[in-house]
Amino acid sequence: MKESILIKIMRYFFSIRGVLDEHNLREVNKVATNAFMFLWIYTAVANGALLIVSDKFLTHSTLIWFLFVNLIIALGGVSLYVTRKISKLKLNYREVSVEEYPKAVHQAIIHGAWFGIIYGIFCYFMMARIQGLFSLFTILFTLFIVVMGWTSDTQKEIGHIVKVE
Amino acid sequence: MNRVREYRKNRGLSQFALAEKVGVARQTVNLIENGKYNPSLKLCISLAEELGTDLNTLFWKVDETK
Repeated sequence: MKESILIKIMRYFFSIRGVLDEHNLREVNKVATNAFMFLWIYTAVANGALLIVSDKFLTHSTLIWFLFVNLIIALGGVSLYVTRKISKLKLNYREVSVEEYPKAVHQAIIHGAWFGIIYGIFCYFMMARIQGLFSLFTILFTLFIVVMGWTSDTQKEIGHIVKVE
Repeated sequence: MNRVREYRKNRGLSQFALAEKVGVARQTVNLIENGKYNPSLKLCISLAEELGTDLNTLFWKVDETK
C-alpha cells in the first residue's frame, strides 16, 4: 500500500522504521495528541505570561531569552518526549527476515548517506559564513561532517534492524 | 481470549510470517494473540482469511471449560 506524504513526514519526524499498521498508527496518534496538547497549553501560558508582564521588563534581551526558552521547552521538550515514547513503543525498530537483512542494511547505508549530505550542506553554509565559501578549512570540515553523519546514522539505523526467523 | 495463536500454529506460521501476510507488525499479531489489542473488523477478516477460518471460530469467546 502506498503511503501518503503526511505518513511519510510523520515517519521521518517520529523516526518510525517498522510497519505503520492500525495499532502503531493509534499509538502514534496518542503521542501526537499529547504533544499537541502540551504545545497548546504551553503557548497559551507562555504568551499569556508575556502579555501581563510590565513594559519595563520587556527589553530586547528579555525577548531573546523568551525565544530561547520557548525553543528549548517547546521544540526540545516535545522532541525528547516523542523520541522517548517512540523508542518505548519500539516503533523505531525494523523487523526483517534473514533474506531481507542485507537489503535493509543497504537501505540503512543510503539513509545514512543522505543524512550525512544534508547535515554536511547545513554545516558548509554555517562555516562558509565564518571562513568563506571556498576556504580549505570549510571544505575539509564539511567532508568530515558528511563522513561523521553518514557513519553515525548508518550505525544507528543498522542497530535498529532486527532479524526475525 | 481468541484462537489466533492456535490456528496460526496449526498452519505452521510464525508471528512474523502471519504479520507480513496481513500487512501488520509482528508486535500487533502478538498483542492480538494475547488479547491486549482489539483489532479492527478489516484486520479480523484478513486474519480469518489468512488462517483459513471464519470470524466466529477465531474470535468468539472460547469456552474454557471444554
